[in-house]
Amino acid sequence: MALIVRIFPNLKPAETENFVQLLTANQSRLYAYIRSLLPDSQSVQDVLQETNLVLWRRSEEFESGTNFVAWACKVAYYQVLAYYRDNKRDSMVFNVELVSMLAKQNEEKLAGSPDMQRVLSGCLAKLPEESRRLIQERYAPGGSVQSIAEKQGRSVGAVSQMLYRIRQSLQECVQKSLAREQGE
Amino acid sequence: MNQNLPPSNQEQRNPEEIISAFIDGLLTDEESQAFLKRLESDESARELYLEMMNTHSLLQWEEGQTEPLPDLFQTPVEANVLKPAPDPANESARKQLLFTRYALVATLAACLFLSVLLVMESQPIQAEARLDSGDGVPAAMIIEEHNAVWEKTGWTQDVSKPLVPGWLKLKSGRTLIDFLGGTTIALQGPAELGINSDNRAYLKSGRLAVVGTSRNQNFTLTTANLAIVSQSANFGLLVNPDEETELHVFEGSVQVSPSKSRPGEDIDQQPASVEPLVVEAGQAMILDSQGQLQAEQVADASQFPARNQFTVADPPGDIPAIDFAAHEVLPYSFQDGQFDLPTHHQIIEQGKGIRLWGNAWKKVEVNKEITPNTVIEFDFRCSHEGQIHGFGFDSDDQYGPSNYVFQIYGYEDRPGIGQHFNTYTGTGWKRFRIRVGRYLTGKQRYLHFIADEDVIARAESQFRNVRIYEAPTQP
Repeated sequence: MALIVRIFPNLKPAETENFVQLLTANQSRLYAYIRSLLPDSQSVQDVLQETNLVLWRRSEEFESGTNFVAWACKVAYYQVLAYYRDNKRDSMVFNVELVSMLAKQNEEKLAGSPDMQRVLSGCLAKLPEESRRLIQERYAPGGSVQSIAEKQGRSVGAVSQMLYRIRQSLQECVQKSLAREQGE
Repeated sequence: MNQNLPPSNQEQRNPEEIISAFIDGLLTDEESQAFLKRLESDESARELYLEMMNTHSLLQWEEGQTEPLPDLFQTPVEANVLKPAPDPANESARKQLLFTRYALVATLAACLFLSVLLVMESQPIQAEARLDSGDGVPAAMIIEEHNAVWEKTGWTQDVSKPLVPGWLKLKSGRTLIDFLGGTTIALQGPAELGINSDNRAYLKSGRLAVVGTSRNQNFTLTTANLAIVSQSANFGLLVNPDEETELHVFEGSVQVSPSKSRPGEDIDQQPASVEPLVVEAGQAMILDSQGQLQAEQVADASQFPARNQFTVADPPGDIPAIDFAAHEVLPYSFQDGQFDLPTHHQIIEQGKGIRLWGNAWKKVEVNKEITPNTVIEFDFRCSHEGQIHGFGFDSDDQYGPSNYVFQIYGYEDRPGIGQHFNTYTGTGWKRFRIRVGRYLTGKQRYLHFIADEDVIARAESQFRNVRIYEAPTQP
């Protein structure tokens, strides 16, 4: 603990522990936030790591009791901008204005929602076996629509349609679950 | 790539279908452009995109595409067994557990790494053993010399190039050395100095002074019997031929520990580590060859080389300052106003100065041939700190990693931005005189000035009395 206190010189041990918990618990949300702004990039993990570093460095700026995700998203936003800066605008899928609009909307969305990862896990469990397998293949490391199509002897379009329907089904399930939780 | 795709006419595809195809990289260029236009203009389309993209990202996270997390905890046998399709809920819990374990392992690894660093920083250091010029990574550079005579042997390095970890032997004269970690030392011959890294050195014999320090990195200086850790301290150190050591602290404070090992001795035979001794500004201590305190004194800066002894000479004759009113001040590269942030400049002091604010990188055409002796001199002040305040030269208008930028102020410490002169303290005018030719040479068309703040564009920089000249030879 003494060591961690040295890393977070301005935080008390309990605050440090709390901060580490928040940082760890919200990794998937931060990943989703960054991914939404860098849809075509292979560098999402790098930007997430840089964001984590900045969050650690600025840990004393976070006010306990305020919305951690909202604060972390703001930090992540500037890391995304820095990524675009360093990689030139030519490589941008989205323009700066669109990034800004998406960042604002997604910050509100992610900061205001309960644990979506948990909800999504529950929805995945409700999928038919074949759909679950398709999702697992698509999201396994190196997985793609093309590779699944090749493996299954189907057309890319057919696999794409199947994935679209499964995602739609998951989307509906997530929204219903969230609405149910918020209504409780 | 797009063969066998569903109908490409977006009129026939609902928005979810288009987003799903976008996520899978299956839209044609034309479809992508239409989709992006829709995103820009339609808030509900953005809302839908974010919902689907977040689900996609969480699935990536859930299914482990983002990190090779589980392998850390799998035995080889487990890894080779073909597993039945797991229940996603259990799978999720397992992955969360694995992630937690992974995070724990990563944290422990980081703690271990930091522990090692802290031990290295705060405890005695076996400096000589760490000298290794094999990797050739520059650690320091000589920026000024006065009558310096170097001894070139098989074990010393070529001082005309950036210094890599290795030995320097200064027979006489004095020299100013910038460590790339941000510390500057003045070395006075005769002296033998080992460069361990960009923030660590070993004084075998002779006299030196730490005359400039990094705000961000500690600097560790070791001798045969001492390890001195400094952050933002200026101090002098003398090691005489009998390995008696004198330490004089002029500004700040340093932590002193006995060296764990002396060259050639067995580490295990050394005494146990002790709490570091803090030596404050104004204090001096003399230690014998065993590291035992012999006497305490008042620090005496006159015994050591000082930075002002290395000050680049005044301009030869009357070198006119740049008249900004007579120059066109233009945006520099893509940096000026980047991210559509505000960028402004104003000519001040009847053309003798320029003020920048916002997220501003402004250039003027100077067309200078930078030689190893070229110096730039200017006054700088700042009323609002941004990420980077500084300047740089460029032969064209294309900023890139090869362009050397001199940072003189600012809270950001980015790789590739020179930190050696990042010494402004945030109050009033400060004069900088920098031998830029030690860092870059050749024909430079532009000189640019920086008030960089990519976050909220509130940086402010003022430069005045900017002169570029060839340094006269000094005795």
